[in-house]
Amino acid sequence: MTAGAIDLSVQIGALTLANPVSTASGTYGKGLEFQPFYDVSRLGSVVVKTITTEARAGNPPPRLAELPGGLLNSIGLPNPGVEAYIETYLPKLRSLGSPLIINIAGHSVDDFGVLAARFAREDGIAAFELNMSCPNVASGLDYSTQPKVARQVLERVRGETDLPLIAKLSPNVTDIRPIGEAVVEGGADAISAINTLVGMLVDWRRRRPVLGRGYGGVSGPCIKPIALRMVRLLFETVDVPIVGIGGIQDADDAMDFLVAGASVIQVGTANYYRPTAALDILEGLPERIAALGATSVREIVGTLQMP
Amino acid sequence: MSDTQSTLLAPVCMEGEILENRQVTPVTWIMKIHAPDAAPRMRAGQFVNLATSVDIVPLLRRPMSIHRVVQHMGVATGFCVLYDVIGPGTRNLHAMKKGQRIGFIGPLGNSITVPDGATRAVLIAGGVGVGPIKFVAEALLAMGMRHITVAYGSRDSDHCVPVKEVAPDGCRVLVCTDDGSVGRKGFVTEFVTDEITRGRLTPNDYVFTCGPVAMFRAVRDLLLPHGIPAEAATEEYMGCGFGVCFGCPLRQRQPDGSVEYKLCCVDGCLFPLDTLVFEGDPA
Repeated sequence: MTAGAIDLSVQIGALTLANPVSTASGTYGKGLEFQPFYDVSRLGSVVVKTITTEARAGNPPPRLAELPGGLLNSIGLPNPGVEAYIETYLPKLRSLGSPLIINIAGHSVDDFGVLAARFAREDGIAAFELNMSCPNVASGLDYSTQPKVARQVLERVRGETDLPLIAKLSPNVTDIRPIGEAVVEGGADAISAINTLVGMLVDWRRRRPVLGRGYGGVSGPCIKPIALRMVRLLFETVDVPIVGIGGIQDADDAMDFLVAGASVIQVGTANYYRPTAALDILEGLPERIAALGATSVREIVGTLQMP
Repeated sequence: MSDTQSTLLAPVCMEGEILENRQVTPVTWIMKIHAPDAAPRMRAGQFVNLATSVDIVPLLRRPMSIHRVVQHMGVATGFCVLYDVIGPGTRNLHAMKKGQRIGFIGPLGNSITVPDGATRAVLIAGGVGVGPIKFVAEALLAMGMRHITVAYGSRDSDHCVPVKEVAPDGCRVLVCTDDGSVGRKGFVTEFVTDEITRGRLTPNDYVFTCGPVAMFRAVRDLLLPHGIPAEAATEEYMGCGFGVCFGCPLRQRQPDGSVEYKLCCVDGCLFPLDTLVFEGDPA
């Protein structure tokens, strides 16, 4: 099998994607920023930065801190709010030429529904990804740490749209499997795993946290082993495609996730330090799939042999 | 701006060959990088984001002002950055040798805006904020400006970059150090006061400044009563450098009086100095 003849297409619900390479929400801006570096339309899909009902200014600086092989962030979901977003950015996003996955975060279960309903009236949206690990939520609940609430979010959004729904789960749980089962029962067509791991860096001389808001989320290559395990657990538990996220920076990382059980992979933090990472991964996949003796990406998904 | 123009000025993400990496003070280095595809796009005041490692430590690139653009037979073929060796990123940088390749994204950020009719300029630099000065001065000379003063302050002789690296020929360069080991003893703001007092700095002149926040604040407080505008080259911790991570906010006063976060990388890094709201400023 030559690398050129590999079928890279994958399926999420009724949506067929030309290839499994996507971008992690919050790391890809509006997508337009990457156009100088490569043709974004080549990606299987693009996930944009989280949108909320109202505008958000974002968190006080410092918002970022580096750690060995990783990044701690507390950005705070800055965005212009749904109406301004639809008016200002959506027309440009439609021109990207890659299936557009809109990432939304609600401050309540109902909020998720309101956002989905608003976007569902617009053309050019391929799917929704639900950011269920937003720390700023009504009643202090994180939507992806309690199965019952997670299911409610999916049911509420499902009631508003027939578009594929991808539930993005938090890794900050004792066991991710019951959450995965709950979102599938609620109507999720796929599960994204994982969001960032909560963490903190300290400046002991100042007796202060490094980040302006204290705690943040850890991303980057250092979280890859944690993400891989959670992808595997979900793959073994639910019957929907898994979108693997966590420290993916090259085609070998992407292959690790596909073999572990992901059908789609998202490139996140690597977009910052290797802006062409997603394209490089896409170009590196066919030869690697061929090396496994497979002719399509679907043949290798989840083929990991656990001891 | 036309589409063709914006494409020509768009940043590139590529590698260039290191032509030179030389020490100019005990802590300061200048790296020259061959980059014929990127250099013609570069404008004074812009920056590049340099990959200091091919590995994942440090993970992020390091934003650096463009110190100057290298010209060969009238064509821009490369660029230089000036840096102090401070942390793991710059330690990696200073260990790199001629002939090695280095990744960069650039040019990034906005470039200087010189008001019509300005015939004089004062460029104020503190510490490693001297980085962009030479490129800015060269651009002003190229615009035909003949009266350019550079006021440059640093900690001591170990940190004081030689005048020939600070500004091109044809500029007046005033140097001071905190301890008086080079040039005048004192702060760079004293030069600014002198220029204002002697009538050599007025609201019709162009002022560019780059340095630590304490210096920005002092310069602003000197210029403001005289109505002298200035452009400040700011610096923030950055994740990407091109507007996707939202990790480099700074606060800017808007025309309606409100204060908003702006991104150092894509909204700047140059901002009108009097619009910036620094830590500790009244809200």
